[in-house]
Amino acid sequence: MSQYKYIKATGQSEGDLHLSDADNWGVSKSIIRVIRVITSSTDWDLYILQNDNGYAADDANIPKLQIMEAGNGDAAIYLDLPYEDEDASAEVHLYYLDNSGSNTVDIYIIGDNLT
Amino acid sequence: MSDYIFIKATGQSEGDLHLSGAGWGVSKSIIKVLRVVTSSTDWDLYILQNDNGHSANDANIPELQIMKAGNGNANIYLNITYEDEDASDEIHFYYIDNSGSNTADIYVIGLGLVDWLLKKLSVFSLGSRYPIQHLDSRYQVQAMGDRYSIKSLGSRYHVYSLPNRYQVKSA
Repeated sequence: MSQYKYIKATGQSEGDLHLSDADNWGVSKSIIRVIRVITSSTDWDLYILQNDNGYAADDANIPKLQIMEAGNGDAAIYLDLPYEDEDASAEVHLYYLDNSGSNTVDIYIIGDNLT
Repeated sequence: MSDYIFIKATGQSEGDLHLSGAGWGVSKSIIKVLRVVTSSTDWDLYILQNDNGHSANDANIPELQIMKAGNGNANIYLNITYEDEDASDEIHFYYIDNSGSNTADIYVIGLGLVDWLLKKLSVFSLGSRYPIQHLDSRYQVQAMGDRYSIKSLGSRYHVYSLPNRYQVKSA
């Protein structure tokens, strides 16, 4: 039976992000339904990865997936994506890049758990 | 609850492809995302439901073209219920490169369907690492509202039901 899961991660800087929330996420396999991004950046990219090793290594079983290119301001990214943190550390791994400056980003992930 | 499943198949040549892997292991699934990494500038991809390939195209469900004239890498988002009609836990594709003979890396992400229920299952209290009961392939488990229903295969009657403070996981 699936359960509602979410992660709230505010003030995230550019680079590899390893987001978690033991209370409200706490799973390594999920379906990611929505990623909401709040930022002042006028040109930002976002990727999703499946392990800890980051954008440069890109060595998970499933390679990185770009889910936004040249985003301008806030966005809601609707997905229907089965996701596994291959490290089994109950994280969601993202890579965020601001091409317009060095704006931080608030990221909210909503999904439900798998097995 | 469904099972996360995936296949990673790199360096695939043109022709009929029969992909499988330890991360898949089911014959019935929902395929959510196909990711294709290739240098081809003109490629086609079909999905088929048995071993007999593009020429025969004799599965119960005929071949479905999911890409025409793809140019380079692509993410193909699907939400398609799929059965390997041979029951051999594979996904069958037909890949053709119209621009040359480039190989393709193919990644498939999906959810396991009925087969998962027929595997060995274990029941856990939420948050516990230790199972309180094992169920073998004689049982079926279904999510029903806020409970799990556990039945003997082929029976109409519940063996018992579990409230959702328990988790059921495949072994």
